[in-house]
Amino acid sequence: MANKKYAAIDGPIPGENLISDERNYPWRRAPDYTDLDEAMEFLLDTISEKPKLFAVFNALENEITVAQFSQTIVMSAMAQGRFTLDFALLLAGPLAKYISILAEGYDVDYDMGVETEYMYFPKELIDASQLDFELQQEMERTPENEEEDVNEEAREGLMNAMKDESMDVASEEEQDSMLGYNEGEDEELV
Amino acid sequence: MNLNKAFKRSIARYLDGVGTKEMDNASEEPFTYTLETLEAIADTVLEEKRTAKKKAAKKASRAKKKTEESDTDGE
Repeated sequence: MANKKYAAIDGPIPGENLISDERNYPWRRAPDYTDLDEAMEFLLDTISEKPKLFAVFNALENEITVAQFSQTIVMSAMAQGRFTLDFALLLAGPLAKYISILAEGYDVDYDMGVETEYMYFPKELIDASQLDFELQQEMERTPENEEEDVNEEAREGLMNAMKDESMDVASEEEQDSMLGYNEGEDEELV
Repeated sequence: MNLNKAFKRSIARYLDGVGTKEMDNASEEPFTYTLETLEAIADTVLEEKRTAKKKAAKKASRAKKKTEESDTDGE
């Protein structure tokens, strides 16, 4: 009981993390390598040392995949402040390939750990599918696919028919005859 | 995206020969450790081993065929 009490006293005060100095962590400083080739050479040198190399093979034989192992190597280098996380992501691929070549050279069975049918979509394909989607939407909007509105005329009203300029308008004579005016009658009136 | 997934995706892209543009953009000079160069290195380093493996596989298949033929003749 007494020990527990002392341990509680030594523990961090709530909010202590907010005032602690974390500026000197390696990943907070500028990275050692800002060139991809140099960073890759550093990784190759670290792996190619014999005790580490055999540790790699030992891990691969114990069913740790190449992808997992290359990720841990790259992340540990990043934690040491060697390069940034972006570099770590970019270098994981070449490092995995290099490890697989080494394993093949030393007759070590390995699993890449990457799905062969991995689905990734390049930007061009996404753009093309977006265009196709927009085209489809436009096609849906076209009047060909619209259902025929039976009550459209009734809703527009009687006078709306007069707006249509394409309709044939009867000549003045025809209109007069329709209204019941004849030339003979006019003369009689005069 | 999950970090593990991002790493897997990055590795898959590299092995498919897709992610070279990003690498070239990351630094001023083009990236030297491309998939082609690494495969060329692997070909030169592992050529003897690969040919030896192929030969051994061929020998094994021939031996299998011979034993099968002898079995059928015996019957």
